[in-house]
Amino acid sequence: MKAIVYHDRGDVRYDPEFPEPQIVRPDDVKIKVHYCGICGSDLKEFSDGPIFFSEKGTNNEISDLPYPQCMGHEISGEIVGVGSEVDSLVVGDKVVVEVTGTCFDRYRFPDSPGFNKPKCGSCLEGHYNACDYLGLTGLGFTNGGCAEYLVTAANKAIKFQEDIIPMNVAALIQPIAVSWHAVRISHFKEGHSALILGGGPIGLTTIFALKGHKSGKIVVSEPALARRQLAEKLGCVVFDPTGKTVDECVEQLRALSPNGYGFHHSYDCSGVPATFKTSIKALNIRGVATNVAVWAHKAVDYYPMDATFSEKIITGSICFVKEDFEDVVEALHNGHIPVEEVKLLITSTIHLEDGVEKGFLELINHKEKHIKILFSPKEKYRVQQA
Amino acid sequence: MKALVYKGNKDIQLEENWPEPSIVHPHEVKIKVDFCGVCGTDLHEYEEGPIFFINEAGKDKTNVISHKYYQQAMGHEFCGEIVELGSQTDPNLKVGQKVVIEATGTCMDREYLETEEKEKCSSCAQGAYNACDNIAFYGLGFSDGGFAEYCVIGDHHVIPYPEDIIPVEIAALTEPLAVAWHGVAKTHVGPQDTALILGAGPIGLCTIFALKGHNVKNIVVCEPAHDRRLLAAKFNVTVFDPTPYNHDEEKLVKALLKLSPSSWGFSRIFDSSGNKETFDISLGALKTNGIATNLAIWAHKAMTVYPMDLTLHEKTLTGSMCYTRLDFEEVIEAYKSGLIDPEEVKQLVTKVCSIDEGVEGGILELINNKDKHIKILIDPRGNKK
Repeated sequence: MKAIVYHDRGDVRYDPEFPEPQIVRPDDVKIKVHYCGICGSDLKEFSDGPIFFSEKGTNNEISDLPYPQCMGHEISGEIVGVGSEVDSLVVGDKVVVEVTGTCFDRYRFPDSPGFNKPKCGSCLEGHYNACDYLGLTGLGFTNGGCAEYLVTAANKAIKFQEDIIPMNVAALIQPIAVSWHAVRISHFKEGHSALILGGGPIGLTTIFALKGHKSGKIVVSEPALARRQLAEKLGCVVFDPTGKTVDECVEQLRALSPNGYGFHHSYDCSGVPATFKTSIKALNIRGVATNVAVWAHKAVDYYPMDATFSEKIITGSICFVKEDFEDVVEALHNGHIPVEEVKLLITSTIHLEDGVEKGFLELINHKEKHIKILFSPKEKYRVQQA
Repeated sequence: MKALVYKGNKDIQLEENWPEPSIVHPHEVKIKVDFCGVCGTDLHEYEEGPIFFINEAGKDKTNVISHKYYQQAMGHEFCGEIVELGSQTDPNLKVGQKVVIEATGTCMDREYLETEEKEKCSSCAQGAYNACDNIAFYGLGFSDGGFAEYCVIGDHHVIPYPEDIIPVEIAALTEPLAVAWHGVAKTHVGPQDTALILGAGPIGLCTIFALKGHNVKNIVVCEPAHDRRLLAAKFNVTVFDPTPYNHDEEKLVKALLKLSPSSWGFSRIFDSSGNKETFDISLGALKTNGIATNLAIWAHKAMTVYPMDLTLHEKTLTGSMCYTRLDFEEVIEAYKSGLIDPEEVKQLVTKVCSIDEGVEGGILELINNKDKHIKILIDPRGNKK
């Protein structure tokens, strides 16, 4: 089958003859992929990897699978086959894939040397999103969705109604789930105000997660004009931090908060020292700063009294759990997240065979021109040869 | 009357004839002070002050809310007896009642003091007066405090306590207990949690009781001073001596983790010390989803945080500031329900000192012999009794 395959840093290839996966376990489901989004972490694996992929020549801790492996973890598709014990899904169901690979998935890989290992501390308490061995389908754990088909466990597939959520929009449920998780663990309350630092893909999906939580005022701070315009279209107040010091940004952003008291919540979707500082200083008393960005292993300055005097709360959100997917699907079904608005994030859709050049390289070289590029194996996206 | 009066840096004096306060405003209550504890903040005012005593915003060295001149009777951890009530005080308050004092002086107090009408700061406007921009205290800049025979207080600061359950000799400790209670309550802690307290000074020890008040059973206390560890151990907690690790943070964290369930870390950590080492431990020894709370007052000094350390395990970093009346009420409830044992709290009092010897025997004794003491109480009637 056609697939985009990770070999190593700087080496991602389109392969028209990658072996098609088959159902082998009784709880397997086979999914025909309709769309798969390309994510910032895919680009990082390309430019700086392997990160989630195990070290070259080693296998994934949970699945014991090696790579080359199909990439892609923002997946929408339809069930085309089910294992003998699957009764929750039938052929034809439209699904999105919860892609984590954690201690909870060891049971599927009895030949792995770690099969009998006890769960890590996070998984022991059910927080598998923070698993010590976290990998993703399409990022080291198992073959992903930049392909015609994939096979995963039935409990990883979440059904949705295609008549409400078009298949291409469904591929964005995964990045919205990342943001949904962040908003949920920050104990967001209806009507609260929020500041989003960074209007890239995760910054923008955080807008939807907030809408799904019935937020009050949302302010988005983002230097790129096109992204600010998009955020504005989604009903947010926007702010351009270009050329301003952190203190100036803090003062002007606070002025945009309800009563000028500061925001109930901030979400750092950029991950640089300036946004870290702003995320704390722009908060109201007892406000919560949540990091959603993936940082380099870099230290930032932190003044304990900054948090103490106004009892601010500083935390971070990692990945998602199945519940976040279910919540996002529900919010799209009931209209709290408007499908038409989510569609605005899709800046292009390309065929798998163009994925390396028009997907990876285009995003690396012209990041500012895009929000979300989707891959599809569908014939209609194949560029006609002249 | 007698009072220990703050005159300025390194200058606290016993005044034999300090004017006895009287009720001026209808919501005021006059208290005969029973005991008043000496707090670390009092020592800071002596050694490095004025800090709270002269608020930058105040003109002519007066408090920005009360407009009172800064030379005041000190002392903010106090209990006493109501001797007189203003004309419009809370009907639940009666002459003869034993009470503890919630000692904040904030935007909320303009009303009872009948001063000018001004917009409240954003914290007070939202009810969080513990984080008032202009916070000061009775006995710390706002108004005369409890190192005195009598004190006049706004009625909303006055909280009755049951003398048969909380002996008058320890009621003054309700205030530091409320500080710890506020920090503990904020973290939504419960019986399922395992807590680590960094430092067994007065606030660290009070944090033990605040945790017990929240039904927490697994408590580890890390403290380098031998006597303080010994005292903490009497309260049925696990004590840990960091000194053999010679400030090797990595080894310290590893050793502490071994004291947590399955060595995965603590779900709540309270830093009552406030230095780089305790800060780093408070993040390092925390488990997934855990909360590290700062209870200490820090110098304006930068610590180092790796945002991904917080993010990959969804750890939370926060701080607790002061208290509100609710914290006092909940501490009293915890005594009533038996979760806080007065016999244990009593052991924090290492000396009771008459006001006549208050400077030498209280303030200076704590500065010079810190390791010998936890809490010194000043008895304002002392020799006269």
